[in-house]
Amino acid sequence: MDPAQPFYYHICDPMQNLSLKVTLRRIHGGLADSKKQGKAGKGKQTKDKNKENLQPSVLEKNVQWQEKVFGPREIAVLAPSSSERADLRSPRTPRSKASSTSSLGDSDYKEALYQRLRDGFDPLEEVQEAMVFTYVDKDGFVPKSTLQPRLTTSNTQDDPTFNPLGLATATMPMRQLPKGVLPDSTNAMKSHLGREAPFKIMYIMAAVDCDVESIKEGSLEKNNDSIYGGPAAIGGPRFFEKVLCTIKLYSNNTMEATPGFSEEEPEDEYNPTFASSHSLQVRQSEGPKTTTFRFVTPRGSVYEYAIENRNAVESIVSTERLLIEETYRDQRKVQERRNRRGNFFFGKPETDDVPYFLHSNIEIVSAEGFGDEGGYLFTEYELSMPNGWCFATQVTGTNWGGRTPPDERCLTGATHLARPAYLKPKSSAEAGKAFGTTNIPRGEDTMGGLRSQFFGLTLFFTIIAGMLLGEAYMIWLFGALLMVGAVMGVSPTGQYDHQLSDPVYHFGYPTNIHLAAPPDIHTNPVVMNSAPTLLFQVSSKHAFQRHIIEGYGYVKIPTTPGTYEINVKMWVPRGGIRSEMRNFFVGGAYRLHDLRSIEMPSDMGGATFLSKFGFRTEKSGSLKVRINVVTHRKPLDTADDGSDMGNSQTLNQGRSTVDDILSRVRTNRNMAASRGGKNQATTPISPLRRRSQMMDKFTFSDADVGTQGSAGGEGGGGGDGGAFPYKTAPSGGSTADVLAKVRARRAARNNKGDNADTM
Amino acid sequence: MAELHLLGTILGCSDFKEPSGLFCKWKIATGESYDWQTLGGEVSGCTQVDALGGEGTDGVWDHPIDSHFVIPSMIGWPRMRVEVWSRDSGGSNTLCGYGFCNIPTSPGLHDIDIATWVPCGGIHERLCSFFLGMKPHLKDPSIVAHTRPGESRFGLKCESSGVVYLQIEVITSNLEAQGVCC
Repeated sequence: MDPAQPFYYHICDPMQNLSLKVTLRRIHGGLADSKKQGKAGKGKQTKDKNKENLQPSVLEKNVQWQEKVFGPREIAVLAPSSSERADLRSPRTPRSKASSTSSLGDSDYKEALYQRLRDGFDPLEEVQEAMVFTYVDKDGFVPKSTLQPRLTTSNTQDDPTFNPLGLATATMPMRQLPKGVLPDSTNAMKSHLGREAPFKIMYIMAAVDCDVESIKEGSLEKNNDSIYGGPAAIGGPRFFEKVLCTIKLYSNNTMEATPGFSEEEPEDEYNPTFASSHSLQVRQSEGPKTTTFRFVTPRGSVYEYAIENRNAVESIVSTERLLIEETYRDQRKVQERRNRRGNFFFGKPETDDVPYFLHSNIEIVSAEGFGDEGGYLFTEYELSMPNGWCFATQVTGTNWGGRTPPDERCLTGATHLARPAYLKPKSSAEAGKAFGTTNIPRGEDTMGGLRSQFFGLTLFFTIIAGMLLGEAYMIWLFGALLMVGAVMGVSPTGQYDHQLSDPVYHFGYPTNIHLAAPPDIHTNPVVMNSAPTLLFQVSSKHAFQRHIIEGYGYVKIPTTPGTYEINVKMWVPRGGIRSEMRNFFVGGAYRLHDLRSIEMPSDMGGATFLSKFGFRTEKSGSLKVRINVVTHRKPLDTADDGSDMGNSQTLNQGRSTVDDILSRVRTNRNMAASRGGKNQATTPISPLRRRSQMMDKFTFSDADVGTQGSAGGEGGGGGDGGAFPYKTAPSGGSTADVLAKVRARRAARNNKGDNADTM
Repeated sequence: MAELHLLGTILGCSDFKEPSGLFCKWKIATGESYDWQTLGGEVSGCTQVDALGGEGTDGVWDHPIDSHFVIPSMIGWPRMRVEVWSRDSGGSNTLCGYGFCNIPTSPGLHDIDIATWVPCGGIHERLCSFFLGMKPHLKDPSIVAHTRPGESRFGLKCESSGVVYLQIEVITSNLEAQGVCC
């Protein structure tokens, strides 16, 4: 386990229940050791050799969430000095001066330490060579490691802004400043507010290599130099403090611990320990190895520590119980979701008279190829239904869910008046880019940069020269020609040239058509291939109210489901020179009498086939139409009422499997019983078996779920299931009873559901 | 119960006349007759402001879409409505385009170009919009994706603007059981 790696835990209990056991063990070194023997410890690193130094070396401490344990520095600074001790003899002396200089939390701590002294414990006696203490959230402690925000190996990168987290925590004030410069508690609160993610923090710390004597003396005299050891030249601080564990509690009930709590370590896959009989014995007698972390102090002492969650779930039985509870919760969630969604689907074909409903979502997207003569383009459409087709809302007997049938009978419609956009030239197929257009640099199809400057300068100088030289010279003609060129579209501006890209008219017009196919569509040859048709007429509106027909076209709505993008090629009638002139000046010279003759005229004049010979037309542009088609048949399974057909099918499958499982469990149990009680007692029960047995005892039935939610976990009685918050079926052979009950309830609910559907 | 899951991306846009600062507000609008319950995900949102660019260049948003619906009926299938705005350096927002597309009914991955348009108004408003940057808006933007019977857009003078690129993956479940073939 990497000590710098945070681990995340999801909390089920209140955080107050967190209790950690911190075990700190000195492996080598220590203050006394180094003082007496200098560097003698180097050669003998084994535990046996150092045994005389290791008498107090194992330190255990239980720490609760946000429990303040004083460290050597706090004791030294806040503990009463010798003069204050004299005051303490008379207990009624007010100590207002002490609290006036420090912040809120400090006065609390001071008070606590004074109280301890009055109770007869000298806090200074608690200072030991190795201590485990805590910094809680209100202390505003910032570990030094977060103040070194070097993210790379580069030495030059000293900008702390590269580490936002370090910056954020570094802005939190450390209240414990040496010279009594204590910031206001309001500042501490403010810094908490500034945290990016709201969390509460707690540090479990170790203070090792404490120089107990000098700390005691210094604190009695309140000489800061002797507490902290003065500058590094004198010998550095009198102790070394190390963050053992950082615990953060986020507002979403996630707990982050760095490093993670100690666990029983799994065997290394590549380098396993020898499973000799001795190692197994050791394991049996002393338990498996737990994760430990190690650190080295500047003085060279080596310490090892482990942090264990005292309330961790250790027994396999309780793990199983948690698993079962979890399964139950999951089942309840699934059931709740199923209930919430309900069983309904409105607007289905209910009778066999309707082969299918044809739902088509149509969008008139855009038009192109129509040129740009300064007018507005618009499209009108008309729906032409062949014989026998009708709107889906006209079909009787369809369940529309008690609402008024949606009236979307858009037989005709018109889009808005659109001015064109000039899109970039479309890419060729091989040069296709992600967005469908090329990234052609602007210089290729526009005039820009030096060329346009040269163009403009030439124009300017010719005009100047023409004015100066007078009429005799025809140089102004050159300028005039340039002007004409500019007006014609070869403009020196950076705009896209209108001649180079096609104008596109965007419509984005939605329309939905829901139709019902004729009953005999599969049998009657007349209507077999018939499909509703959309007829389009594109016109343009110019100044002085001139309307000019720009194109006609039609599209048959596909009857195969899918998504279609159709480019309707359009044509326009062409008349003689007179009607062309009339069209140009007045507009509306020709139009079709009947829009249906775009496809098939309603009146063919008695002809047996369609002939449009003699009708002169001209291709114009194309219209892009997107159609989504869905066919909706009557559901195949007619045994059920159909309202919750799909759902009940899957449910039945699910239930049959549950029955299977239960019967299997029962046969398993019978087999186990037949094998004989003695045999069963000696063989260990596998977790899976045990779980299945428990499952058998606590039968879940989804019919109970609804009642259970309202009951709010009323405790079920009975034996070992007393801890379970949900109802337990009486154990034994009652599963069949429960199943019968469930079936009865299901039937009742189905009836109820049908009633609700028809309402 | 039939469900519809939409996973997609608003890839970006191209061909808008506004030089920079384009962003897109989107909404997946469903039919009004039935309650299309959302099981998860967002049905509307706003992309970031694509500050770079130049006239006619592509803007990139890469904005994710992930919505999960219950299908109550085949009527009112969701539609995607986009509004493209441009934000200039002074912080004022200008409308650049309305657009819509039907969400495809067939399952699978679809690439859709949404053609957008913007109301342009008369000569007076066009002058105003040129100098002051205020373009006429739709009073009710929901008509972009819904046409009610009897309503016609004829008379609404608009200018075509750029194209928004949408990539969407449609997943349906349990529709076959209801007899729907899509």
